[in-house]
Amino acid sequence: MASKSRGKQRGEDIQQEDVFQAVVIADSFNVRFAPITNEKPKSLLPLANIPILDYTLEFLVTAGVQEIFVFCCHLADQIRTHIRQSKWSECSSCTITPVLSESCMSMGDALREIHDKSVIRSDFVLVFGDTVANLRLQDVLQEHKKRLQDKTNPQNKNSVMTMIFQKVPPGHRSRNKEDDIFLAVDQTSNRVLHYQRVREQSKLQIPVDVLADNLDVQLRYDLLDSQISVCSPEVLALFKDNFDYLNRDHFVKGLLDNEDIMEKTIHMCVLNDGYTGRVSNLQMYDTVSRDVICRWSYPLVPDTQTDNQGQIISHNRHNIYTSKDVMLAKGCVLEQNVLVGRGTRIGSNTRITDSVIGKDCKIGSDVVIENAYIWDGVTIEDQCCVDTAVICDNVVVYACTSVGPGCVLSYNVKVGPSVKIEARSRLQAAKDMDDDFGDELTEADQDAVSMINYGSKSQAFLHQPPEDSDDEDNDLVQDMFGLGIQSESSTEASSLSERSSDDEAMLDDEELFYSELLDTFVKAKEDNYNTENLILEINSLKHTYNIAIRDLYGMVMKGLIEIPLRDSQDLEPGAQLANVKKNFVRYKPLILNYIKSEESQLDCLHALEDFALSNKTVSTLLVKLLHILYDADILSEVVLIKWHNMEKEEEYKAIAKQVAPLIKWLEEAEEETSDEELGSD
Amino acid sequence: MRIEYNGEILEFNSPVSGNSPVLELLLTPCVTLYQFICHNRSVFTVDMEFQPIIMAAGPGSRLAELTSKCPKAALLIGNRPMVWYPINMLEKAGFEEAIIIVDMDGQAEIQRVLTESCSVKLHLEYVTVSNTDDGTADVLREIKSKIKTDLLIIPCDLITDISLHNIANLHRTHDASLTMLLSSLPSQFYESVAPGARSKKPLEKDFFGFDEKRERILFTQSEADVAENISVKKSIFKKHPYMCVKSGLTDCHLYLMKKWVVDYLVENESLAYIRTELVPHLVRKQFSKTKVKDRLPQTNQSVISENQKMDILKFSTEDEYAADIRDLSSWNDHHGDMADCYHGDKIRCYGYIQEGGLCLRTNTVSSYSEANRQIQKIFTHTGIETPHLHPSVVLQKKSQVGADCVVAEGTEIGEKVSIKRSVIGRNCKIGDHVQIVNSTLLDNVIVEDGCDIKGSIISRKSVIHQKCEITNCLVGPGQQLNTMGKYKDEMIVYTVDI
Repeated sequence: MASKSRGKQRGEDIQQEDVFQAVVIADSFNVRFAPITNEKPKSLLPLANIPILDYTLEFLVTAGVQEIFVFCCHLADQIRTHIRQSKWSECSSCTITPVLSESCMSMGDALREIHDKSVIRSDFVLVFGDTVANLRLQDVLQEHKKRLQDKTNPQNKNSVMTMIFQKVPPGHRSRNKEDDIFLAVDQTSNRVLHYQRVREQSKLQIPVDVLADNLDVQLRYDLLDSQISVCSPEVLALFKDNFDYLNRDHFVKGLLDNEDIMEKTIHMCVLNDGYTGRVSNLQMYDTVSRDVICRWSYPLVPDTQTDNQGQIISHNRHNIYTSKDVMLAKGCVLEQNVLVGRGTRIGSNTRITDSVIGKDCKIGSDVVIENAYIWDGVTIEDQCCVDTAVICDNVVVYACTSVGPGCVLSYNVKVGPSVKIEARSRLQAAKDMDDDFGDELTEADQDAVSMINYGSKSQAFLHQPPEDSDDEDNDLVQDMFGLGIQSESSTEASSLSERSSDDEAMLDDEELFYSELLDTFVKAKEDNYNTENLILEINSLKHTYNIAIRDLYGMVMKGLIEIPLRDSQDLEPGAQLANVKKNFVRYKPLILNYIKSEESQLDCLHALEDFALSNKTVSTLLVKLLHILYDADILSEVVLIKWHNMEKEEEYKAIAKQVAPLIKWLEEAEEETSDEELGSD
Repeated sequence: MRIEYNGEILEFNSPVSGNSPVLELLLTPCVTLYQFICHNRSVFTVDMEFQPIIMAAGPGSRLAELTSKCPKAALLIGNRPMVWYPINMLEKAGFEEAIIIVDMDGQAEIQRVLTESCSVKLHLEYVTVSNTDDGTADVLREIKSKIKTDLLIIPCDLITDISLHNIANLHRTHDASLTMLLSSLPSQFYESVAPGARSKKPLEKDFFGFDEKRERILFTQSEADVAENISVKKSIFKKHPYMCVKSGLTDCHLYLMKKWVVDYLVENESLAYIRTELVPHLVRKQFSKTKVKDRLPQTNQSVISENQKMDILKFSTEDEYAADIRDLSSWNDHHGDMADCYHGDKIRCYGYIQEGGLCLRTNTVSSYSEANRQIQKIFTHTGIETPHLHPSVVLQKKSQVGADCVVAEGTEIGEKVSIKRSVIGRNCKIGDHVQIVNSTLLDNVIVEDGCDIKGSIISRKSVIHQKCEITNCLVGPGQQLNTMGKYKDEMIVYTVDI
């Protein structure tokens, strides 16, 4: 008995001795930081003068990770060299192994490669190489392991991943549209039930099953996905088996959608203390830099971290960090949240706030720098103004130049003197080499353009983002940097209008239905629905809002007219009509599906009548519209005449008058045909 | 000043006027009309805070087999009419009067049963509904002239041991427009198979979305109304990024409601039912904003006809003082953003979730029979003391009546009878060698010798002839069941004319 229990204990010891492993994906497989990342991998970009990767490694080593595999892809050599030269090369507690593969196109590829190498033996941490964090990973790991040993609950036992989230309510500066996530979590077990990226949707869709199958579900829109996850080794195998998983989102979605088949579950935990931030795009670069300067990421702050050259940085009031040999001229003001690297000289009467300045920079006099990230060896001459910009190594900004918000000046760019760089320009020193197919500008022309836009001494060319980018939200995110406040307020405004618009709609199911119907048409056009699907969609809408079938006829017709008119409201009436006609042709099967009987045709006519009263364009086009519908055999002449002869209220009289010629023509035509028929008899 | 209240003496430092909110706060919850004797012996009255309305006009469509000859509210549970349970709750909370909404035909019966079986101290004002098709909200519209203050609406089929002051406190704390009682029903009440039915009906789930504190209701949705996805506006998530959705809750149809809601109902006649129409409407309206007036009409957009209906926000006026106090106070209902308390929402709906305790609605056959089976538990929870055998019951030798049963007066039980988990009504006659398990026998039932009754409901004046075996059946009023008959999972409701 005693020996047995000892044996068991020994078994536990062996389990305890599992090596704590981590996989760092030192590539983000996108071009958010282009053109900077053309020359340097993203994980080596300096954040508060220290390469981002160093934060990630420091975090992992501090958290007790014993073996780290750094997966490098783009410019992998640089990362390998960096790791070799770093302090971790002779770290005793932890071994860091770079894994090189230039061919990988996605995180999924990377994990498949790691699986093939079969180096992962136990539960491991998966992070990106652009993470700044100070979490207690051990706690999460223990929680994950405890879950796996829970024999009573198969859902716990089958857990393969614990995702780590941080509570960040809407409106927080760490939120950005790209990482806007929404998830449903089981209250008691913290099991992830639904995970989606919100993007631009104004309504969030929650699957009913998720709510029906679980008694108590949390819907969280206040979380930031740290993209740090504790994974079971099975995760790699799952990636291997499902080669369509390109990133973690695919993985999570795949597992949640096929939970019945795969029988794997995902859990989550929300960390209330501790900091995580991912430098996923420029906006987050800005945010995380500030968090580091403001010491949220302690102990990962500038004054505790020394690079291999033994740089010593002192921390003063208002979060002013200066290296030992910084030269500050008389009258220069470092207001708050400023970091100045070694060997930098700053001229007199210069004002700097909320900025990071690298090593060996030369800043002239009377310069204003706000919220800017200036890397090493940069020269900024007198009376320049830099606001919310990233300025890379060895850039020269000549005198009296102003760099607008959201600008990125890549390596060795020269701008100025005396120009104003337009906001959100991304400049690089070399011309774009590729895609010269349709480019009308010759090299000389480009030079000339550059001179005009960026100053006489400039060496700068506008970076063209590759157009065939398969990232659908690329532009969206790039636009964000430097415009955080504005975009926030604009979303606020749009949500306000959205609120007031649905206010009206809410009173009336019909109006609500109509607006949904319009949305459906727009969506149908974008996604190219076939008619049957569209009809199904409309029918289901009809049931949802409990719309009478007769009202539906009119509204479908109204919608089909309104959509093209709305799209072409600035055009000539003739062109508008052409658009409407095109729409009719396109949706003719749909119309014929609804408007078949005489009665439905009449309903449709009444709806058109009402529509014409409320809308001037329609009223001018009404006769033409009726004609088109008649030509398309949607409305029969019998119905048109019947409609015209019906008793009308005062306000409709004008319309009746307007369509009179058409009716007259129809009547004559009918007489002719009946005459013919008679004659043939 | 001093106030004497129910024998207790309350002291105030400052003088208190008749309708002061301070007084309302200090008083024990749910005070109705009370007289306060000040130290100077002058008497003044305080308006009641809530006006209770008992909804007892429902046709009991889910109990149709039982309610064909007896109004739902008068159905007996543990030999007391169903409506007595909410009345008892109101009495215990200190109410002295209540409005009871009854059906024209049912009023006499309800009054008769109430006076016959129990003493009611509460002053009940009977109001009959004119139109039987009227929904619950229509009823409120009809009795508008009688409504003086905020409402407490109770259905006649609610049996609960909850103290009303818990709900009232939630209602007061947030100055809510609507507060509702939600309960996680014990599973046996909806999982048990109803007598007379072969299989249980699938339970329709309602989803309630709560805020982080699980108090405010952000959305309601019935499972039957949605196909695949429930969509919730992002703007709501921006205000309440942490939402909890519960699906196992039952709406007990008990509502505390601001008086203005009735005014709004009068204006907006499209709402006919409280539960299915008014409540979802109010919940949605929480997040609507007053219209921006200076929005320019766009030429090409269809001009939606100007809304003739009055905006709901014009009705939802708040107490001036309460609003001022909230503005001055540093208290906030949420954290995470810099917005004002409640994000400036004027309409607020709350739900009080009852966990544990007793809470059930006897609105289906299965819950009705289950309530009777568990009658002793209900009695202990609601503090009713009734001997399980009425003194007038005649019990012959070798008969056993379980302690979980209730047998009413005038009933005669023969020899070697065994009764377990059952309720026996008044003046029943039970012969020899009868077994009754898990069943409900209403008044004047005659069970002849040798019968075996399991899991069934036997309505009034039915006669079960010798050696019948009845399992899981519902026997309607006045039925005659043949000798040696065997019945299983049957509805025996209509007499077959010979």
